[in-house]
Amino acid sequence: MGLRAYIVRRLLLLIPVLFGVTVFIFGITMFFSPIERASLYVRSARQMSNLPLIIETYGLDRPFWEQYGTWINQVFHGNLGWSAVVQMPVWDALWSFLPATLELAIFATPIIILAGIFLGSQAAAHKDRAVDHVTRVAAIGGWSLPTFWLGLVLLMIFYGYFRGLLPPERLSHPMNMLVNSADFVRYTHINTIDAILNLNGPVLLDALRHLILPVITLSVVDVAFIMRLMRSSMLESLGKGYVLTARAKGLAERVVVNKHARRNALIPVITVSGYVFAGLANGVVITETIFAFKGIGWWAAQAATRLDIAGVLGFALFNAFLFVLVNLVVDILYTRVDPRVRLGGVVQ
Amino acid sequence: MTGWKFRARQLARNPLSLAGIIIIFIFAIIAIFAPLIAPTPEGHGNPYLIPRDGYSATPQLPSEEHIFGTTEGQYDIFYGVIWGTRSAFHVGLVVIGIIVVVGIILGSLAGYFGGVIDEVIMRITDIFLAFPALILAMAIVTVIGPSLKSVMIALVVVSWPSYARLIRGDILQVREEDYIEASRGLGASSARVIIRHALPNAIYPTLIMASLDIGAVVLSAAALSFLGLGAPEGYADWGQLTSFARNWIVGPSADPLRYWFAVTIPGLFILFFVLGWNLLGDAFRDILDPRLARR
Amino acid sequence: MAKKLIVTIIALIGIIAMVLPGCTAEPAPEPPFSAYIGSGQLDGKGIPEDFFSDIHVRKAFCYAFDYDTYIAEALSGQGAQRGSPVVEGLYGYDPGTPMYSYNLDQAVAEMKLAWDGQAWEKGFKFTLLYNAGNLPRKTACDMVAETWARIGANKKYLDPIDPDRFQISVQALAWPAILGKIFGTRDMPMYQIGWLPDYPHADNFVVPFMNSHGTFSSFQGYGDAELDAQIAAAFQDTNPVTQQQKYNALQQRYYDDAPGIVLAQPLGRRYFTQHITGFFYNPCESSYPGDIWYLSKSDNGDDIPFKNADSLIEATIGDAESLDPAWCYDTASGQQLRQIYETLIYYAGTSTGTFNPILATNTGVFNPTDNTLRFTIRTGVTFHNGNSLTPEDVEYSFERAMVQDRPGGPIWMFYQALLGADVWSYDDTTYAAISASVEVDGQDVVFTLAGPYWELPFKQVLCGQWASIVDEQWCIEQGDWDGTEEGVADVLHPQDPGETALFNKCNGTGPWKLNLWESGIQIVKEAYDGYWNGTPPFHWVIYKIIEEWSTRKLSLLAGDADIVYVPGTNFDEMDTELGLNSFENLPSLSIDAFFFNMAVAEAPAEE
Repeated sequence: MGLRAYIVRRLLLLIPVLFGVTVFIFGITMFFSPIERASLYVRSARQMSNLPLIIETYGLDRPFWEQYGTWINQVFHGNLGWSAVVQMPVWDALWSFLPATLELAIFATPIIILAGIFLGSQAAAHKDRAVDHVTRVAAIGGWSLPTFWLGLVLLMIFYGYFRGLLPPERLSHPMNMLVNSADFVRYTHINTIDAILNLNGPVLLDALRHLILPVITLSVVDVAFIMRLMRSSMLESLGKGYVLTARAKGLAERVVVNKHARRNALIPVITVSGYVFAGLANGVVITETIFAFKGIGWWAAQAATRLDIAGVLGFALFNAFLFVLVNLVVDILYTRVDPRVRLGGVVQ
Repeated sequence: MTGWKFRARQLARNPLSLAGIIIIFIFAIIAIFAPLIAPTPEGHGNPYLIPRDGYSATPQLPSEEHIFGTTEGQYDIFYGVIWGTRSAFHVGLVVIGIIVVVGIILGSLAGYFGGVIDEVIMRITDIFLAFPALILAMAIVTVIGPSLKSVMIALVVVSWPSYARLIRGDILQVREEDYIEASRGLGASSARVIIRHALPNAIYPTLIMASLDIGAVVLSAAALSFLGLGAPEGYADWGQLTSFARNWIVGPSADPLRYWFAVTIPGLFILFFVLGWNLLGDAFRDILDPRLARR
Repeated sequence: MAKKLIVTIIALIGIIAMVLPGCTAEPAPEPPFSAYIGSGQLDGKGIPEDFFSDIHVRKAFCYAFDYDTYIAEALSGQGAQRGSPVVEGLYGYDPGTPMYSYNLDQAVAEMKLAWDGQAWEKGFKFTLLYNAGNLPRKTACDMVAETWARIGANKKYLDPIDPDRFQISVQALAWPAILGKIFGTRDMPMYQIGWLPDYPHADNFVVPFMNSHGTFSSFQGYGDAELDAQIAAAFQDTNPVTQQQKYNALQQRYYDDAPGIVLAQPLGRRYFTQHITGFFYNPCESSYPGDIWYLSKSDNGDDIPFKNADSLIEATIGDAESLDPAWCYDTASGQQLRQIYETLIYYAGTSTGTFNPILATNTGVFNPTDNTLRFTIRTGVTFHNGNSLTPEDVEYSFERAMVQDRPGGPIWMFYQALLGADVWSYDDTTYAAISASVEVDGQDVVFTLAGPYWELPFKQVLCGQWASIVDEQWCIEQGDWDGTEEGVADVLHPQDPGETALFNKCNGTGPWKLNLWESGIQIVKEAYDGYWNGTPPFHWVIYKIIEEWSTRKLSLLAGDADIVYVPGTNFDEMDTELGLNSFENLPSLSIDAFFFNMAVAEAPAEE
């Protein structure tokens, strides 16, 4: 089937998924009594006297279908609701917090991919020897690290022990003032990109300095995944017929590995890159919380624990959309990269 | 038995797999002999609740009485990590066990029968997969209330779809094989065909993924406990112990690493436990599944 | 074959490992009704729903709590025991209120008198709940549980010993669930909750704790009409001497009735860097650094780097909910409003009962014949946009709040003070009544109070951020209430903070104006050059939200923040740091108490 038709069909499949996701979330919220859901609006002890009023105002005791209907109606009018945990409309919250997460994803993904590819091909090329074992243990060790632990230890060393060397948050105070002043235009709210677009060196350096620790934390954990994939994929392609032929022809081992085996081994890795990016763009709750690098992961976590239903729904919609989009892109990429596979014919 | 001996030798020869086996073995010993290693005080009640030696907030450094020191609130870290090994096994194996069973049932149904059943199950898994996992887990834990049980339920709900998908894919592949046709030709019922023929061949990639995922499940449970959504304070759980250390990462300026034990020790236990399972999973993959281009 | 064997072995290992930990199980979850009272009978395996209605039971529990250890360890010494919820710093506080002390002999004696001796003979079993993540609350629960277990295991009290006679287990629940149980299902036998005052008057504490329709007491099953009358009489007494006597009696009554275990009044601490001086503490500002107008920043040493000489940076937790004075009930919003807007009067220094004029030139002249409170409005004051302050602005500020009346907001205080005890919201009154309660007379603004006893409490209300004065002209330009009765419908009962015109826009008379509000991240304020009362000590005032304590601490020690919120658990640690200006034993106007639920799982008293 044609590409356009395929894309349309896949995007249409988004609708039942969105419906299912939102109904499911609403279903979960129905496990909470109206008073429990009212806790979102009670910000101080004194408001507890007003619980019945709060419940009535926000319709928290209405039946499931009525609440869902109200929400769906709102959505069709372009209003995703109000996210009480961050005091802004849900739509604004998404766009407000997404740049921070994207910034992390943009920097972490290439590092993860490149490091993974490098380590994986080294491990494969020297299979079962020392290099292989060491890189595998290092990578798997990274994957076994609890993110929160690594993040806090890094902060302890580079922010605590080396007083203020690599600080948390996105920008230091003076740079933050500059970025929000009239002298600086925030095109994307991604500080590094904006700094480049504004031709502002100090802001760029400051932003990069704040990115180092969170990006390291994220990368260390995910590198193993790519490394392992690259290794097994390299091993498979190294065992293929054309490699044998290349060797028989007398080509240098390095050429065999780099030029032939690796290129084919890259295929699954490239397709997985999409998932890695999407996984990061989805928001990394713990890293964002520890480093006060507030992106959508942080926002979604706040919404989930404080029962900000509008926020959770908004994030779930975004997430579902991202999920379908990434799957689509990866599937298309796959067909481009591997001519044996045709659209719609891939067995998942 | 030559195949078995051969595989076992292969396993043993690979130092990484050996390391994995040894690590898990050590943890298993710790878990089984926990009451001997870290005995529960007389009349304490639930042994999974770490005994408190006082109520003060400042962690105590390692001493003779508390080998690994105490956390904020004076919970003995040594006791906590030893009994926490049991919790870790409990969470990891129960969650994975349930997921695998659920995944096998639904995946087999979907894969074998195809058609409407397949579509419905696949759409349901789509919905779950489209969910942000950690957020869904957090929501579930918030509903049920913070406890290890709710963490397990949350992780099961979040993780089963990938297994269903995996099994389904394998069944789909296996379904076309000749011996299945042959069985059916001989009059075998669908269930029999699935259980006796399709599943055994489809199960190995699942087991590999499962052993790798035990580590991931324990990490997720620790993350949820760290965020305050898992085991309650004072429960013997590594993630919970780490969350106690959260406010003590940076000690006083003169001695910034003063409370290192509160952070490092539970973290190391998590690290090695997960590492062991990952190495073990890798080892299983190397010997059990010759088709390396899996996942 | 090999594969089958491997699979079987794995399965066996799995099953063994699963079963082994499961053998020592956690307590099983809940059946219907109240899961926390065991069998529901006085048979040693539970407690009846009205267990705590017997005063001897309550007294026994009050005597069986180790207050000193709780304060010393769980609160790091930063607490003071009190005899009743009326705490130090409140108008009407009685330091002579008796308090229970930790006395096991007395506890045992009381318990033996309870329920005709059945409570002691049979014992009890129930569950205590606390909100997860709150370690001091858990500690309090643990202490209660452990004390009673020890009593049962003590030969002096029980021979032969019976350590299982008094079984209390402790369980954690998420905060929303706790709230749902306190105010909804009411199925917890005992619970803890804190309270913060709206205005520092004893009545504001006595009502929720002792009135039969009070926020807490009604859900406890405590209080009766006679007590209600006493409480009202105390509030309405215009003679300070007799009023104090009435409040003394009420505090004594709390001790006598023991409807709860009063744990402690928390004492706060503030940690500034060495470069900040000028801090003084008013108990009404127990939630934030207080009046920063009096602070100054200069390089006072090398222990902490001196940065950002023109800024005051605070790192803390909790974002503002809105910047509309009529909306805000939470302390984070209140703090911002204190710096951007001003009120007619404010507390003098460290007092909570005497006032200084701010936007008024006097602290209110009360006329007992018509219950009016008259303020003369200061001239020469300008708003951030240049408009001059007029009495009409003052009138508009109050009427505007009363016609907005956001659900669950603070404006009930205006209604009660100006329109009477029956009026709790706009729906209970008329536009005409609201309009008449605040009037302009020349350069004066005249409030008509609902009773002469409101004079002091209303002045306290006037110090709150909800009484901030806004600029009528500017508000109308922003689309706020147009000042007419017809326009009320457009602004009445807003649901979300974003619906009000002043949600994120400010135009006040205060020393700083709003520069930037990045939700969840920071609020930046800039000095207002035209401030009527002098030059602001800082050009920038920044409120940063950093939830992670370690990050906040490092910010403070690196000089990136001048003051941070320090959790109680880390007080002792901070005391060892060099380069800090710290202040301790600051009485916070709050109370932490255990409440006895005298009627578990029953509906509260009718409104």
